[in-house]
Amino acid sequence: MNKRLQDNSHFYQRCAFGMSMAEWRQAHDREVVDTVKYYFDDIEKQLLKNETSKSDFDLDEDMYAMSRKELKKEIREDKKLLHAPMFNWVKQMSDPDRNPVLERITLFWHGHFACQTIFPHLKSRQLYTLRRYALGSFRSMVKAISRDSAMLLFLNNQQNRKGHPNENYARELMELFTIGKGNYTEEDVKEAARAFTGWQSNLKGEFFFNEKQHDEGIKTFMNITNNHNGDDIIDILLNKKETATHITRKVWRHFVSEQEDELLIQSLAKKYFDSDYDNQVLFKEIFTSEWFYDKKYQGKRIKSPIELIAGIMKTMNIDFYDNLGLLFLQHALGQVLFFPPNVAGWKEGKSWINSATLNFRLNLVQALLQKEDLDIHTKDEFEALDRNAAFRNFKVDINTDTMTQYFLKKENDEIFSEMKSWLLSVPISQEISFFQTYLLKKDKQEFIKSMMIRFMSMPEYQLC
Amino acid sequence: MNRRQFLKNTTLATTALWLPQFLHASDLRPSSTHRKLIIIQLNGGNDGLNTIVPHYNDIYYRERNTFALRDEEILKINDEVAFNASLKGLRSLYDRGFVSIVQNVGYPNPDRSHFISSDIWHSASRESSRMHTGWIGRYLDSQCQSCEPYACLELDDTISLAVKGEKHTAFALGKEASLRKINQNLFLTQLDSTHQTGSHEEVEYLYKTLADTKLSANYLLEKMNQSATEMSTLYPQHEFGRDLKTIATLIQSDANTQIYYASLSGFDTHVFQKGQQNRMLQIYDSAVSALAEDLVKSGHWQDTLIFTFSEFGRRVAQNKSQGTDHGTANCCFLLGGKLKQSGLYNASPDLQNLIDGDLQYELDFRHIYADILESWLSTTQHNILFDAYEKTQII
Repeated sequence: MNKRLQDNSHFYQRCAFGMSMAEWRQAHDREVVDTVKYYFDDIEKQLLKNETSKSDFDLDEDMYAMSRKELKKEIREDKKLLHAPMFNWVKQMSDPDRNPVLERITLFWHGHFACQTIFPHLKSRQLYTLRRYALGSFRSMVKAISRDSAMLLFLNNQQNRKGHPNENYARELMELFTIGKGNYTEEDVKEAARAFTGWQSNLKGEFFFNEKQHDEGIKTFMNITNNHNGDDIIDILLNKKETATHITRKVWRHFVSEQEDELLIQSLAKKYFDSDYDNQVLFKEIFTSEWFYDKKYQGKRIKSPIELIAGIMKTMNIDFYDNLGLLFLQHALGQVLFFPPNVAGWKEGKSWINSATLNFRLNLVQALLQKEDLDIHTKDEFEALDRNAAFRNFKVDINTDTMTQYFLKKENDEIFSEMKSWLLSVPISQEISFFQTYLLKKDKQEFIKSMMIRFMSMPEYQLC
Repeated sequence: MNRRQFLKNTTLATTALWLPQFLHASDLRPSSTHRKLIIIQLNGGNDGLNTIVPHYNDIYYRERNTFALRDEEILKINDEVAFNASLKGLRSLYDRGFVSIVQNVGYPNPDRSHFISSDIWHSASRESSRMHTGWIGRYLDSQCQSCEPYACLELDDTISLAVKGEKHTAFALGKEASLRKINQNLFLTQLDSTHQTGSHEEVEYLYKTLADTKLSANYLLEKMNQSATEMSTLYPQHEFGRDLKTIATLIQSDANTQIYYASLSGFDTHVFQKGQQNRMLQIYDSAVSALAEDLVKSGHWQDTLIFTFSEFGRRVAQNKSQGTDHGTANCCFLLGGKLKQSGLYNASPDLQNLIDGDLQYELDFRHIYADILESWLSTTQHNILFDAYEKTQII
């Protein structure tokens, strides 16, 4: 494979849920820096689409009059509504009219600002915020997330009141979202919590500052004494270089490698800090650096379940009709959007893989293509009845025409070597002869499809 | 999810309490892999008050006016408590000294979400909000230098947090048909057998997991088919009955598995609780009794310990749909042929002193875990439970 193709392939695999057939063809005659530029230039257009998506899942006006408990009950009973934002987002990740790089980076931030909520309208509002700032200002992002309804509910800031501070949000803001453990004191947590008193939200998802609950007193936070509010706390935290380093390290571990290169991390963190936390500067710097395309970083990431699912959907042109089928997949593989396991987010890496999930991953593409019942149960529901529900029968539509058209004219050996570089991020030792027994030879189209299934059923396909 | 408060409250045991226990090597029985541990989770939050019933208590009848169990629906243990009559097998095991009932088990700052409360029980850590491993997973990590990949089995298609470790995780033993499928997938078999070890860490990790999966599937299928003897005991016609039967078969065919994890779902009884819960308890009861009888007959009962829990109990007062909502403290069962202390471990719940209508826990569940780890699995709780908990002295 030539270097241009190899570089593009690495970029798409790691940062864009793999390659569609169209992207694969384009990758042959475009330098990777131009590919990166293309996606970054497209962001503003994408953000216009995002503006309108904010209220995609707003509820009927009369529902907001319910108590929180009643509303929860109502939503829990309507599983389609409950999971609609998740369904929508996964489809957007693999939608050719969307920007896969923006979606991929938004997915990273979703794991960073880990938050659970069942309210569909709060999910879409939070997603709106994450996408809006994904490649924008991190400072604005933290300030917006600190006003986000789902987050304020999840981390108990509704209960953070003058005289009765609840430290949950203040603590996670520092430990997880910004500066990281070891860079603040318990006293800082207490004082920061006071600054966030009265930051509340209504059920509709609108932020409001409850003046009566806000502690107007003098607070000393990180040695600065003033009548701080929440924004002041965020500014003080971001004025510390440690925050830039903490975020850069996390981005590095996610997008580059679990092996840290301290010198490179420090130099990236400095650029990030000097740009006043411009996410675009950080990500562009990484994706356009020569070292990012070093062989030692290729294929080193185990795809998260969402990357795997969106990747399969994109590459194979799959459309799900039924959001419960998509939910089932996420449960079986161990990652459900808008439901990270805890405040620290998903652990990633090898923790995605065990005997059950690997077996499921290796049989998934075949099952989807042959519309098999996967015949497994997940632990998503505690009710025996739901557990046995039939939603593991996927209703999917697969259109592999463009792919088969492309390969139809080629020789078998050529198909084999092209597919290998299109679908896999690491080299394999097997030759086409190894696959012969498993390939359908009735006609060329079947042959092409069956070869694709085999590539996507290999352990190597789990890497990006 | 107030982690701080959680942290404060859990540090109950003092160093003085646990230090001697660690140092008394003579206390630790010789490490014995023939000892089996079976953990059963009743998924959904089993209503403890209608399981072990405080039949003397007026408050119970007042708060549960439509479905408090009547005299003919319970099996009295003494003047205070009784089994739900669906648990007649358990009652007879109890009479033989094979059951210990522990009541008011919970943890500080209880969470009423199924997922979060389950995670707390599974991770058993004071920082459960950050844990990615479970207590059994950490046990495996600490014990396994050369464990087989099937040293711990979960009887399901997916893996619970409890049995996930950093390095070692349970093998998911779903239906026999799924094992066969793994076994018969020629493509994967050939990939596995022709794979040449290389230096790419992640590739090697995936192939190692694949190899372990195939190895386990083969081994377990062989063991499951080894016990050709017709089993006389009757297991209920239910997934859970089938799971426990599989466990019995593997134990009897000397499978090299030490820990089994199974669960039974259907206890989230918000509406019309009585019929549903009784039905589920009956499935649990008949399956567990069949397993016990099976293992008594084959001589394995002395080496078996069964621990049953649920992620939370339920509200004391019933709701408007003749059901109960998510609550807090609950009862647990320990079963086995060699309990140090069987019978009622402690007093029944105090229905007078509730917090917001919920029971107050008296025993942190980690005291039971400590007993299981130290007395049964012959290890120290150190590194597994992080804090030190006094053992319950049941095992």
